[in-house]
Amino acid sequence: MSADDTQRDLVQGTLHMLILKTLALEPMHGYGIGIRLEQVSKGVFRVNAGSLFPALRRLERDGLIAGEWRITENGRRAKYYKVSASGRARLRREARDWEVQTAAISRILQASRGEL
Amino acid sequence: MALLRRLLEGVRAALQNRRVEQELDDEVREYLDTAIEQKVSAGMTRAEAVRAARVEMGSLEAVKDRVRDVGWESRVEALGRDLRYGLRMLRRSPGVSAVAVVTIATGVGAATSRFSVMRSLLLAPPPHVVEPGRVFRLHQMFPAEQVDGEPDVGAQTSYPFYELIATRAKSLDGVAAYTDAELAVGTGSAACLTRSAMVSADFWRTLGVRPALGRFIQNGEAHPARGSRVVVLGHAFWRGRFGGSADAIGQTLTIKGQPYEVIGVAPRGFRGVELADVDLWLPLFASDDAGAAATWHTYPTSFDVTVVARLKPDVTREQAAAELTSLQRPFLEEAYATFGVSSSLVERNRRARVVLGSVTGGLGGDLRPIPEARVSMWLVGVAFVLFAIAGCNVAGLLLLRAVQRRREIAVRLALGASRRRLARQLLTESSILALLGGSAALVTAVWAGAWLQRTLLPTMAWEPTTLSDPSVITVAALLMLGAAFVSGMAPLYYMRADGASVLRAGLLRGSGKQPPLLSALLAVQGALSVVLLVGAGLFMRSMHNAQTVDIGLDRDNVLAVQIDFSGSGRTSAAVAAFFEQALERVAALPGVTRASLAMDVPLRRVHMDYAIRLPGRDTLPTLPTGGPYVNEVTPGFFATVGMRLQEGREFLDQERNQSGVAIVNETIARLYWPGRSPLGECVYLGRQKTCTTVVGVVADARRFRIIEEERYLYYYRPLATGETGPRALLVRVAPGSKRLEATLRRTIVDLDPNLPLIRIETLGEALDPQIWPWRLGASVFTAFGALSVILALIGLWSSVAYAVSQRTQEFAIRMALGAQRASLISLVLKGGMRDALVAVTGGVVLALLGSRYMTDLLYGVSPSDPIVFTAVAAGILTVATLANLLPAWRVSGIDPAAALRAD
Repeated sequence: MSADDTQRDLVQGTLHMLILKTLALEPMHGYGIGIRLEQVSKGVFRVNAGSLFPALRRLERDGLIAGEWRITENGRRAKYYKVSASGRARLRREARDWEVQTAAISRILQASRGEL
Repeated sequence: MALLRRLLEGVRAALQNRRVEQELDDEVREYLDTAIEQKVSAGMTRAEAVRAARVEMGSLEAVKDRVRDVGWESRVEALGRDLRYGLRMLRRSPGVSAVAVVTIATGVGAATSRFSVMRSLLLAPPPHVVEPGRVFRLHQMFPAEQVDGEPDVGAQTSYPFYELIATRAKSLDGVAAYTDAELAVGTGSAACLTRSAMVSADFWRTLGVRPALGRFIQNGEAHPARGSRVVVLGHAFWRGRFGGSADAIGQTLTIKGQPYEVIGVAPRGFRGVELADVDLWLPLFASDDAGAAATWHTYPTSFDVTVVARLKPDVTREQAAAELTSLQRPFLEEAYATFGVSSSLVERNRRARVVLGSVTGGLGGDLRPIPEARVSMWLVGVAFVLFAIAGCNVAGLLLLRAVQRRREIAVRLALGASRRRLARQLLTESSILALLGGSAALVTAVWAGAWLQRTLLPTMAWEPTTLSDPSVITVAALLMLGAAFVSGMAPLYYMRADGASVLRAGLLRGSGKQPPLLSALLAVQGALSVVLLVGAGLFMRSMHNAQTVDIGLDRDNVLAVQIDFSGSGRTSAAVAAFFEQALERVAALPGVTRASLAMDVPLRRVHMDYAIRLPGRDTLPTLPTGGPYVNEVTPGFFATVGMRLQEGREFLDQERNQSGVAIVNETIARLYWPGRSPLGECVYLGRQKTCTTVVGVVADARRFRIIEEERYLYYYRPLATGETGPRALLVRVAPGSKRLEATLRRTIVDLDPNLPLIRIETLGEALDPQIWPWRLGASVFTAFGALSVILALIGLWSSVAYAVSQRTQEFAIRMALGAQRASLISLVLKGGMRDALVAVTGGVVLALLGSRYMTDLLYGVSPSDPIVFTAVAAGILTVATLANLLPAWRVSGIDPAAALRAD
């Protein structure tokens, strides 16, 4: 995902969901989230700082994730995020909605001439 | 819930701002460092890694900005920053900012003040009248005398007709009659003139108004012949004279020499159904309260009162008018039968009808808006023109500033500022301007509105409602927002290009050409200024014509001394003797050229008595104006008032107590004795059988109005020393001795210290109310026109100065290549004059189109008067030339080498 203004709004909700999922698996700091998303999606999604940080701030403001400063393995000070209880609940809900939507979209795309 | 949470988070973040900022900075830097480490461990050199990471991330500040945008408090904070920045920017160019604020203030202030004035004059119903939509004024419409003439409409009618309607009309729920007068209140030096209204029974009930204090005049007290001496104070008069104290009730006011008891106070702003303020409310009884029983109310065909009526709930206006017409016809027939008038007049009256006129909208007796109202409407138009000019000016100034800041904006865009942020910043800046200007405008509106009301429309009743009037506030707010929007648009227009391309194109210095929008704005301003100044010129010429036109007598050097002795208890013999004494004394004063007495003061009063018959002729030609009118005068009258004797002579002293001589005006002379001199001719006055000899012919003079096309039959007789009846003292003074008035007053008071109110004024002052519309038009058009020229000039100057300064390098090169100073100046001038010519031409066309609608407001000058147009066009072109010339002169005086060296 690029930092293009016009595209940001479209995928903002999706990015939030993906971040929640990543943090649900393991608490990590900003850069790590970006790397993880890139790895797991096999290079399809490349999040940069301009999209990631605002998303983290929004999630933190809404109480879905909580951040705390920790010392990393390199001895640096970094802010680690972990998902909260309400964050998990939100993730479950959004994941379910996403499934429903994608299933519907798939059906439409695969419909043959007579069905549509 | 989420909203509340966000709110709280925002507050927390705002309070701990520094810590939050620090943390954000730490986090973002840490991200960058981690990215660099990652790349290094992937095999890049340190330097390559740093560069790659930075490119990938973009600007740190931009990222932080976007994070900050997430919280609402950052927006508030950003607004605060924008405000501070905006104020700093405005402070940096205080001249432009001040001008812009003043411009908005004048434009918006003028428009709102005129709007509120017009609104209360034309749109607002009379205050304190219940359901004013059901209340109407009664007008009588008589068909035209000529076939294609206008019908004769008037609101005056007779008291017997009012009584008839009051008793017989079934469609009305209340009828009242009223009239007005200027009455002297008090005696001696404490006397003052008041505007009074005299009302009939049922007046208060018909209008539905309740007293603010005390009570109103009761029905039994109002009858013209059998009323009581009671008075209700107008609210403003009560505040002024009695200090607003409740003790006023029960006190006595001396009105026309008689004691009147104060019984109540009218509510604030109440003025009946007319527009002018009322100081005192009296019963109709006071109209002729001179001790003897009144008779004026018994004449069925006189025009003494105005009738106002309220319709019953389910009656329409047309139904009521029809019923009243059906009552009017037989009434008129019967009335005229007893007077034995001609059959054509009877026929005309048979086709008369009653029309009900609305009490809202400033309508006069003839059902057309009164002059104050009509001029007021024009002035609203003028105010909006000024607003348009002010708007153009502000937009132009800010546009200019945007152009000047193009470089700054381009650089900021290149450094990564978001467009939206910049736009918000500029919009904030112009909103501050609009807010400042708008507040100044409100203040201006209140102040200017009050000034306008006091100086230009002094007789109307005004209430200080401008600020508390919601519709005015709404209009002001809308105008303010409009101004902000317009001025905010300007810089955004220049941001539409991408910042980098602006820099690349080397437009750091900009071209010397004005942006076309700016040229258009300046042209519009110039054209509108032309329009306003043309209006000013036309009105000024009308006013001048009205003030100097020959009306047949001297209006400036003749003082009329009038004293109302009615009710003072003096016998007519005593009054006559007093005036003779006064005449003698005054005629001897230094500075007085001549003095005389007359029964009627010219331009103020006329009367008729005897008809004229000529021996041997049965019928005489008549004029539609009726007559003949007569004035009894002492010897020297014509010389005193400046009327020209065409033939014959003035009266002689010894002729005063004879009844055998008369002087006629030229209309009578030409009509009765066409082609020959009437001197020595014999006329019979009234039922006389003896001759009255004509000893002189005097040139016609105006009767009441400056614009008077009708001719009148007028003759003069000597004033006998013992003659009863009113009279006045006329005094001709040497020019420039206005201070003589005080001496005059003293001389007269010396004769008798207990005089009632003495009124001294020049003959011309009677015409002042008629000149007022032109004076008003001239003042306002001139004021607004001057303002608009100044505004346009400022705009023009700024833009020319800027454009010329942009071309410094170009000029320097030209000069280095050998161009002369003069040719550079003419270069600038040519461009500027072309624009100015376009603007002036446009303005002239607009003015020609618009002035046609003003024709009936002008006097003695055509709406396309070439002198006015030429003067205005020449004036504006001259001013434009200067505005172009001076900056060009300054720039062409530079040292080319220095200019080329500088950046």
